[in-house]
Amino acid sequence: MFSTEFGQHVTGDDLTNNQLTDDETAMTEISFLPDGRICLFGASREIIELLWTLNLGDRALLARHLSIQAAATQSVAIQSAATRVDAMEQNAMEQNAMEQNAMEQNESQVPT
Amino acid sequence: MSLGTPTSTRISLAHAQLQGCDLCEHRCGANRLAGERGPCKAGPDARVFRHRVECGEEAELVPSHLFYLSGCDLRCAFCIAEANAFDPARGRLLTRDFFSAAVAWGRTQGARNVQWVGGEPTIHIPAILAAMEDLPDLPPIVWKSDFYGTPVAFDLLHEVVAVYVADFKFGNDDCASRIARVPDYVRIVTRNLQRVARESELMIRHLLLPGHFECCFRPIVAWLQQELPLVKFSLRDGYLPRWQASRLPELSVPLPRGEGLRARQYAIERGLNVLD
Repeated sequence: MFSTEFGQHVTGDDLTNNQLTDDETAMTEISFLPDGRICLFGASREIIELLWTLNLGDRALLARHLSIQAAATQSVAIQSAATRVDAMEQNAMEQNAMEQNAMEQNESQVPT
Repeated sequence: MSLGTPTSTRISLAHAQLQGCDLCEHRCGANRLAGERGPCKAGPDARVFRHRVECGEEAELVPSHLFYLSGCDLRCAFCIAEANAFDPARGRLLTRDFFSAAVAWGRTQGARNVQWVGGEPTIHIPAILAAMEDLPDLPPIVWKSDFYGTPVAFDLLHEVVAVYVADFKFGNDDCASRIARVPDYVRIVTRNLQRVARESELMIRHLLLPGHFECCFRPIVAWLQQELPLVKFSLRDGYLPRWQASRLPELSVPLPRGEGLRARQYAIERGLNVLD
């Protein structure tokens, strides 16, 4: 319907399944430029931490490292809070069950 | 920074766009439900060609769970997503079930937010809103865009998106036309930046292109200095000559060493809020 000047459009294969999403969830593309610079695309936590150990002195890297550390702390805090809530719920359920048993026992001792 | 999940009314309004699409400024009006296709070639469905938790974005966003959608309204010669960005048939279908499971996985990886990227997510607003409908505990939504959308597109996103990341790529229309094959670029992008800066949290990103310091970088800095001096400005210096960059001589090489530092210094001296 529409004429387009784009012309560079790539038709591509019929990739309507998972072929392009097999598992890129932990993939980082790393390019080394001729002058020694390193370019990252899709940097994972592991790569940031690895670069951090190399002590590159990059301010942007420092900021990202601190940021993912903060997120990890937050995640642990949320997890431990969730564990505490789970434990409290479990205790409450056990308490309820004990009370219920006690009530049932008392009822069964009521003389008819 | 978390905002509301999209309402059914909003999703219906977005869906109506599929019968006469005005989501991007090509304003092709294609009836995507009837099989018509505009310059982006997108149909009614959106497809995810990659999703992963990344830590290389701006520090305040990471770890961020990025969902890469195929299909785009621009044709940037240097696009790092290459063919995936321009063929909307690529990737797996975006559905509510897929998205819900993926978000749950991302949360286990420590992701702070969900970030829609592309390609260009704007052309897929109907499918994106539908995938997020009524999702419990939806993380804050980050919208990384070329900002070539129409006001209608931004209306649909209003109060759904927590943070916009705008790619301000070119400082003049000639470069935009030559490199990304898109008309009237500067007027449209600056209009949208002005609006979003008033309504939401905004971060403006600029990828430094080799040979475009004078024609693109400096005009962008000048505009920001005058119009949005306080907005967060993220300078990216990791340009790689990929995809079809070789058809443009100046884009066939990496950014000269030291250019990133020079640009950063230039922007700071002009009072911009440059991120690390």
